Amino acid sequence: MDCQKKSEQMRERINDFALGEVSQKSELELPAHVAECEACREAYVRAKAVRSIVDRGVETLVAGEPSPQFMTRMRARIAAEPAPKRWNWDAWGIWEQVSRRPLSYALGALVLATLLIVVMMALPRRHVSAPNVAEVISTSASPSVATDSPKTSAIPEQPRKKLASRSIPSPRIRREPEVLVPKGELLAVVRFYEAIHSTTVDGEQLYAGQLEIQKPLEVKPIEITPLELLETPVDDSDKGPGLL
Amino acid sequence: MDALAASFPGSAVSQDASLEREFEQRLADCPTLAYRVALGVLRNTAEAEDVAQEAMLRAYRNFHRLRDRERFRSWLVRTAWRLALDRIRGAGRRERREHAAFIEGQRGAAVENVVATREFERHVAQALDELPEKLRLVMTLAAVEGYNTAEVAKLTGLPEGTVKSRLFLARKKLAERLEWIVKKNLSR
Repeated sequence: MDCQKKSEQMRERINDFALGEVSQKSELELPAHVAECEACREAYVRAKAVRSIVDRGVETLVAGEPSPQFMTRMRARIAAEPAPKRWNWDAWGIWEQVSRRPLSYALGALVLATLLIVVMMALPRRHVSAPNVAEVISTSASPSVATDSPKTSAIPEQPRKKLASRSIPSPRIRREPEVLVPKGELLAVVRFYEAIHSTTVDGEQLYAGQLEIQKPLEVKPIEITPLELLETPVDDSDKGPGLL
Repeated sequence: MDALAASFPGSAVSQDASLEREFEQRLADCPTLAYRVALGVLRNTAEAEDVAQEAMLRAYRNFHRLRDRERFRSWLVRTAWRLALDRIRGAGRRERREHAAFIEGQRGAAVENVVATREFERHVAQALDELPEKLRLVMTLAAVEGYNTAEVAKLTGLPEGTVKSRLFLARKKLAERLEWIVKKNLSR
């Protein structure tokens, strides 16, 4: 290392190294060089002395012990304090604090609950402008739309798929039951539906109707009367020439 | 009765007693550290004692979180440092600092030496006060009990490399600031 040519730079590096510069390169190179080069060794020793003076100066600022009364006063202040908290659930001191000022905590809880209720009530209810599932179901559930097929539900398959794919925000659905109409009973169901909605349903009449349905079919023998053949006068003049 | 209750392991009373015992150990161990950290900022023995007591009292209140010795020490150092800085900023007492601790230590020395050393002390204090806070903290802690970088790193919660570089920067700035007085000292 040529320290004669770069003496200023070298002195700076040695100075920083002595003051505790963190550099791997300096840590590797400088100690060996300082051991060989007398001028640099002198600079290093001087820089170390500067560091020592600075450190000593700071040490004198913070040197000293607290006075003998320090501990007495300290113990007196600690004695006036409540015991240190334990590190467990009790240490949080929630119940202790609540029991100290129960009214304050009760009032706080009441205010919080009131605020919560007010906020909940002030929140706007969601209205859906597009027809939702409930409307479609209730409309299509009326017997007038029902098909004759016993396996087919009231809602056609294609529209239902479309509705399911729509995003429907939390609907308050007034859902009516779907009506599956067995084949050939559409008229009966229509009457039944109308009777229910007209609120003029007679229980006895319904029961009688039910019995009527459940009654086995009567097989009545059919009387077959023989056909009477009427004798009509035969007009021979119409006959053509005989074969004979 | 208390003694009987304390003899049952796991009881609330015995837990409190063990906490008290542990805190007693810290109380014997740490006040000087807190005091010296505060003195490094305030340079007034009475105020430094006051700050150290306040820091210890806060440590006592939060002792359930600070039972680990290292954690306790680093928390105490930071609290004492912060309280001392707050006190200086709050009351504007920078100008009224005394060097009581230093003077007490110099009793019996020759008058010229005391005057020279007090002069040097004043310049060092001024230079230290002009350092940025983060450099000043590591420099003070390194000086407090001759802590090495690893110990300062533990106390501050900083990486050791950061402490080293900050110490170097602090020393360099102090050396530059005190160059003339250091040269005078070296030429003696």
